[in-house]
Amino acid sequence: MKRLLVLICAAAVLGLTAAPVFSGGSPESETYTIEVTGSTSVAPLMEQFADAYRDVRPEVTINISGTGSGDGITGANTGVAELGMSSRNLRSAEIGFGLDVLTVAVDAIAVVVHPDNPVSDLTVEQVRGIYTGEITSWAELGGDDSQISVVSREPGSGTRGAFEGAVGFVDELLAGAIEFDGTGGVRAAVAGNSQAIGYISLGSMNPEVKAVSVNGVEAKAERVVDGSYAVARPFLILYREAQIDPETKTFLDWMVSAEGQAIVSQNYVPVQ
Amino acid sequence: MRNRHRRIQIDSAVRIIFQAVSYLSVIALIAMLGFVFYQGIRPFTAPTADQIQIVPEHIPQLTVNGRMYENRRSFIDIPMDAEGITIEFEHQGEHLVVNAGIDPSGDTWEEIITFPPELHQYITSPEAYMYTIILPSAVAGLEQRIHIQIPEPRQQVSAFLLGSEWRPVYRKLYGILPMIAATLLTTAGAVLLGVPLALLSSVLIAEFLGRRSASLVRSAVDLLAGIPSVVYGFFGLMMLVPLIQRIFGSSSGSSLLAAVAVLSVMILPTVISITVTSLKAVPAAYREASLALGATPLQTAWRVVFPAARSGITASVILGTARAVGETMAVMLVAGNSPQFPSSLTDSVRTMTATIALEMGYSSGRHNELLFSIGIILFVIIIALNAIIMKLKTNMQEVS
Repeated sequence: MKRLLVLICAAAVLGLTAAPVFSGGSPESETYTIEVTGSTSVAPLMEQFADAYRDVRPEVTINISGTGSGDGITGANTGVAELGMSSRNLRSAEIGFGLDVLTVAVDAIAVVVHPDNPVSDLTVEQVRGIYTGEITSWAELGGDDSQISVVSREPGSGTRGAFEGAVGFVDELLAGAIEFDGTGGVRAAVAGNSQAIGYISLGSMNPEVKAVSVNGVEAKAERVVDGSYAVARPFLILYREAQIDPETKTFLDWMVSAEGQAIVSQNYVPVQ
Repeated sequence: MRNRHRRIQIDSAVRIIFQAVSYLSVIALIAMLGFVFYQGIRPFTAPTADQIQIVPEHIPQLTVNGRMYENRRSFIDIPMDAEGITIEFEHQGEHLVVNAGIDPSGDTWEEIITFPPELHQYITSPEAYMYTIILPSAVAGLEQRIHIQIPEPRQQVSAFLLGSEWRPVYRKLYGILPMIAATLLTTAGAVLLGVPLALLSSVLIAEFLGRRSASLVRSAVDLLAGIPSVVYGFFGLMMLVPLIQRIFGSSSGSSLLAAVAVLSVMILPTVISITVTSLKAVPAAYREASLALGATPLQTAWRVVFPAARSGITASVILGTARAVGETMAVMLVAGNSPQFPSSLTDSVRTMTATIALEMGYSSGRHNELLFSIGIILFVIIIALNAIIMKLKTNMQEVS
């Protein structure tokens, strides 16, 4: 009985250690997995890329984990992931990491309210006033006489950094603003509260929330291209040129090719 | 004889495997604590760097303090005790020299580096401890920039524990007092609301219900313990938060009150199951004696059984408290996560655990390390609660 137990243990240990060796040396054509980590805003676009790239090079698998821009930059810096995603420009302290940067798309940040909210246009100053706590009631903006519930992203979020930069207040968010992690959280909070205002990536818009125009300009990809919509930011891919696999390099080139940019233009602004 | 020898060999081999496996939890604990403490203590012991760091952008060739760098894309270190910084480079065909003085004894970070007045119009400070010199360019996006990062000094423990501003990204203010207050308030609220409920139902289950209905209620309570916390949070977000908004007419229902309500339900199973067990452990002779003296069943339960099970009940309350302190997901979904001191029950709050979960993926450098420091504070609270339980256990053993 005991011998059986030992045999089973030994077999299990052998199996565990040997399994990766066997799968790694499988005789099929060369497969390659690209690890991509970072911004939750870039992740939906990266998933579209990965879907389309499966037809281009079926032997390449792209593993995407949406954890946050900070993670993407750190991951690319430390080599945990081959490619990092960021939805904001690098901060000064991060420029010194010496990472290579590829801009794959430009995204507008839509200011969103509940669909029942009569307010449909705000100026940048008004948005800033709302987020710094100077404007507290929808009545001041031509809406119902109700208090504004301000919804923001968490500190360090790429979307938050880009939004605060574009609107012009940095680290001055009013105390009492609700903070959610992830685009989905903000969207759900605004969709469920008629007094709420939030901001999300334009590519993540859905009919549950209503985008308001900023300075009279609608939040649309075309308006970003002609430069009239102010609240926009780049989607960046970070990597180290010297350390990436040729297969990954091919993927990078493909993302900015006509084929890749066609996918971008479905929901975002292409870079060329 | 040979057979016996082999059996002994196999026995000892199996024993080694068993030992290794059973010590795994201890190894995991030590590894985890070591990591958290290593990361979390660092901000309090040393500055973020020993040097001033400079990195150029769109400047192919520059000379810093006499050394030339070409296509430099990583940090150039300048020791804090250097007399100054001299940066020379070409700007639009002109040879530019930037001279800055270093005063490492400056009280605030703005006093450490002094720039000549003619340069002031080009200098911006995108965030605390950071200067960016931006020189205009004919092509937008290709401006020459020089980023100068000053190391953050040792984090003061008092500023960390007692600071009321959490602005970690740009202003680099790391005060967690609002988070400590939020954790204490949500926990206290959950205990105040949940424990009386739990104790009443425990007495009901242990003393008054028949065997079948008692086991029915108990299994319902056990099932409550098995619900993942994210489901509690989701339920709270979808049902409780809108309800609170409607009742109180506040701008948002994500609030201290919602967190307290969700937490108080979440601690019920912990408190109930341990309390029932300790009530059941009270010897039947106590009840019989009390009833024989003419006390009613309610008097017996309240005055005799309950006090006799006191230490077990206290332990259950403390375990419930620990559960409430450590709960992350459910609270994060309903509390609104605003790092402020709440002035009313309908204000949004951010607990310590929620801060770690929210910001871990987005933080870097000192901000990231300080999230581990918050972990240490949480760990200290949990250790303190566990120590109380240990004390109670020894007391209980002495009594019996």
